[in-house]
Amino acid sequence: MKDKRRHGNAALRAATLGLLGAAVVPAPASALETPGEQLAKKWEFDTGLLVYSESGGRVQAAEPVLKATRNFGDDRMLSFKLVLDTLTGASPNGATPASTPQTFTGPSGSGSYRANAGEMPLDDSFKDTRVSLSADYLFPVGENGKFGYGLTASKEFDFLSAGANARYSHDFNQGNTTLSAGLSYEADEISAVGGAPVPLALMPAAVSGEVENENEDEDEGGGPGAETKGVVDVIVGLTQVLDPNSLVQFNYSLSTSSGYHTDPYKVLSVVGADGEPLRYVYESRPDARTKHAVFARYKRYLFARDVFDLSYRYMTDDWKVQSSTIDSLYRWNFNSTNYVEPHLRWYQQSAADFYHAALYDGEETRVTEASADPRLGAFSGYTVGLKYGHTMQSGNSWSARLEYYQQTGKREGVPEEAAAGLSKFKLEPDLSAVMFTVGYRFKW
Amino acid sequence: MTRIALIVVALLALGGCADIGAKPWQRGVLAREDMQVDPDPVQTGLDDHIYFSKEASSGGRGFGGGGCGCN
Repeated sequence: MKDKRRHGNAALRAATLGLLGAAVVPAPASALETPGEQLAKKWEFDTGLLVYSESGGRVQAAEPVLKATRNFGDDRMLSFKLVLDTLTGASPNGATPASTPQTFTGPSGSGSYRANAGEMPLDDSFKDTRVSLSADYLFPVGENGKFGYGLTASKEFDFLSAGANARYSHDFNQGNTTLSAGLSYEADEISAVGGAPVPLALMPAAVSGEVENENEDEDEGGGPGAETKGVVDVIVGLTQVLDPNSLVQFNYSLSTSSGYHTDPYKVLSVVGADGEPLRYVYESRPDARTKHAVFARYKRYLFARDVFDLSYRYMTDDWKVQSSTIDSLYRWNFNSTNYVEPHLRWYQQSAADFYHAALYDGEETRVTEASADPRLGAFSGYTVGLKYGHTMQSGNSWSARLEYYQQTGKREGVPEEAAAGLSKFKLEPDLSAVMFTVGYRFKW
Repeated sequence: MTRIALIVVALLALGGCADIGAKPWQRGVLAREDMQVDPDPVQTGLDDHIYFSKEASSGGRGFGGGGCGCN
């Protein structure tokens, strides 16, 4: 019986390794089922549904997840994960507000969308469904090692991605120290609606909802061919048990990508000294990016009841984005089958060096890279949330989490010549979103 | 990088000490599901996807996002 319990434990321990979290200790089998019952049910299903809703008619998303893990009982685990993602709503297109209504060409080149005077232009033609599938296999190597490899694929209307990864972790010091390393490769294909526009080329004017097509060939550019991008990720990690109640984790990750990084649907306003738009040009991003991130986590069991989790991440890249993320969770296990978990997250990033809120008249011919995508601007953000979880008599469990996410932009990248003219507009779109997640975990 | 290497070496050295870590018979708490580094990987995946598509950062706690045309 003892052995069987150990195998049940291994399932959960291995599950955590999937993220290269590399837990060094076995997790318990459910306290409410006998080891025999645990073993009889070899599939564990972990399901979730996220509903994400931005205020102001912006992005709305629903994302169901199904993850099935087969435990072979000897530290071998096979898992499959399916994620669906349906998105609708509007996103800032990068253009600045203006004193008169603005009309933009839709991504397909045939439609158009509008922004009222003084309003942040939002592209409301955004609608997509994403399907993502992954498979993963994990197995022991020798007494203290574990090897895992996985395949992933995802498809959107204008995007296709396929990837593979491999991870290894090794326990030392009676399982108190775990070193882990992982490598992943991903190949992406971007088929922009209407073809990828020529970077910094003029967006064809849209008049009364119709697009002027006369310059289509020269200005809109973009052939039917797809653009590609390759991403290589490397991660190394260390998990150390400090004492019977606490542990720390350190990771370093390196991500290098090359190929098409531009968002084909984003533009920049080219403005005059009065801050009013003269025309719009498509954005242009570098064709490579290297990101470094260090991550540290401290986890402690408190009052013989609760769990406190604090983590910090620092990221820097060669686009000159630097960011800090602090994340904290406090899980209050107010009895053996119920918990409440408050969550606080704080985030801050600096702008990419080619971020411009707008370009001044003629500047578009002097720069080679420019983007007004607010995600590449400077901003800070916080998330506050609360989760409730319950474990049922059967050992199955469910949870519900409600969170609020707020981003506050920082004014940056304003062309000096037009600074006075643009001062009447809010250039950095704020973002607020409500996120609701339900999860249900059961064995079969 | 040097700093990270030093931290790793220091922790490995500490791990070898008798007073750091837990003995095999002291692992009750560490074995709890809620003491695992990622007790809810499905939730973590959803979170990573949101922040990857709304912020310019990724990576750190796992492979750096991706598989998404959202950024």
